[in-house]
Amino acid sequence: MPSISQSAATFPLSPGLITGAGALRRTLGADNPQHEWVRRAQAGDLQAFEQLFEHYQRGIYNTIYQMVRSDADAADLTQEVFVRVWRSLPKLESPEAFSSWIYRIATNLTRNWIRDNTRVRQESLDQPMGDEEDGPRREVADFSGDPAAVSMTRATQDAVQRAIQGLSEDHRMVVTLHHLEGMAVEEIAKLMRCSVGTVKSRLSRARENLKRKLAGYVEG
Amino acid sequence: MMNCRQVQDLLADYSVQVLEVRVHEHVEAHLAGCAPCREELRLLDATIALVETHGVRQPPPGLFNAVRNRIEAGDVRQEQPAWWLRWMNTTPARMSGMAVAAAALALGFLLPVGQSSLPPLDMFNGPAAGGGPVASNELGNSIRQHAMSHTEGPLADRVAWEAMAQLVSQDERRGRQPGVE
Repeated sequence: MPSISQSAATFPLSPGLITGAGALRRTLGADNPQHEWVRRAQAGDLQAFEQLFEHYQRGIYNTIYQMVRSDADAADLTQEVFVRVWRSLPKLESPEAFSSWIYRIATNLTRNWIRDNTRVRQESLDQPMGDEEDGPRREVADFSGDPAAVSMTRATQDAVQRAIQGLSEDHRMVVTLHHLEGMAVEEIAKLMRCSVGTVKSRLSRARENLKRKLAGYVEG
Repeated sequence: MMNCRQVQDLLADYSVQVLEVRVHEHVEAHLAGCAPCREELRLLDATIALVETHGVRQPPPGLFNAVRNRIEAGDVRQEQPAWWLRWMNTTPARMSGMAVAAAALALGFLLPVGQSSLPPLDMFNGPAAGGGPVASNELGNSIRQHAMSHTEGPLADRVAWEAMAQLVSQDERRGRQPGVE
């Protein structure tokens, strides 16, 4: 019998480290090459900035997408985030703070954008995109050139997207950052300005919710 | 001992390790001997794996082109921090700045000790020694107040008390009630 503690959904004993697909995507450490990219970009190195863009764009894009629920708007806002980052980068004192800083810019910018866009706000309130079977189904664009991604069943992809979008904003945020982008709970706590316990609690509620909504898509 | 329903209600909390140690151990012990609850945990694992695999959206290609175009066209310029902020952000500058600040603070406390920046009291005692004491004292007080309001040093109170004591003793020497004409 496999050890219970090896369960993919459970946290390992070391806090902040995570299991799952997202865990391998990002490595944060003292010798993190991103810090060097940040320093070079601060000095005006556009090539280093492009490396930062490549590293962070998917996380920023997904975070924004889960808030605005539109690929076109998420793409525009992602570009705007990086424009603002480039503009203000020399003022960033510590390269180590870059990750939290860029996500904070993204969430603040997107919140302001949602506030200023009545259409999106009404849509998100009126159409929670939950797990209602007869609810509205939004087109999910697939920009990926990855053959594996293309071969995914559209129904499953849609179901997962709708399940995530059916979560509250806070829960959506922690799921996106932790499970999709592999961010440590400590880092999420810093970004969301709340305690680690609050992040874990939100993750727990979100996991319960996702399990219920995706029950039909998981092998029993 | 926990039953299956209780354990299954706690599985999500168990998975993120927010349960108290004792409860966590109870759940773990239950799971070790209960296949249906282990299956529930496996379904939770599978759900998370599904979300991690299918939840990520790939951003459209070429997003950076528009950003680069705006930067290269000069539409977006990097905002440089103020020169003193840049200077303060270097470690040697921070150290030397702290040293200068500490020295200035120490000087501020040490220099006034035992010294009064006020002129001798007799200077304010009228055109001739012993003449016009009340009017002269008022003038002297005014000048001292003015001087003290500018110093605002840590010994300002001491200077004030010194001035007051001298004025009172002068009045007493002249056999007058202090402050009474």
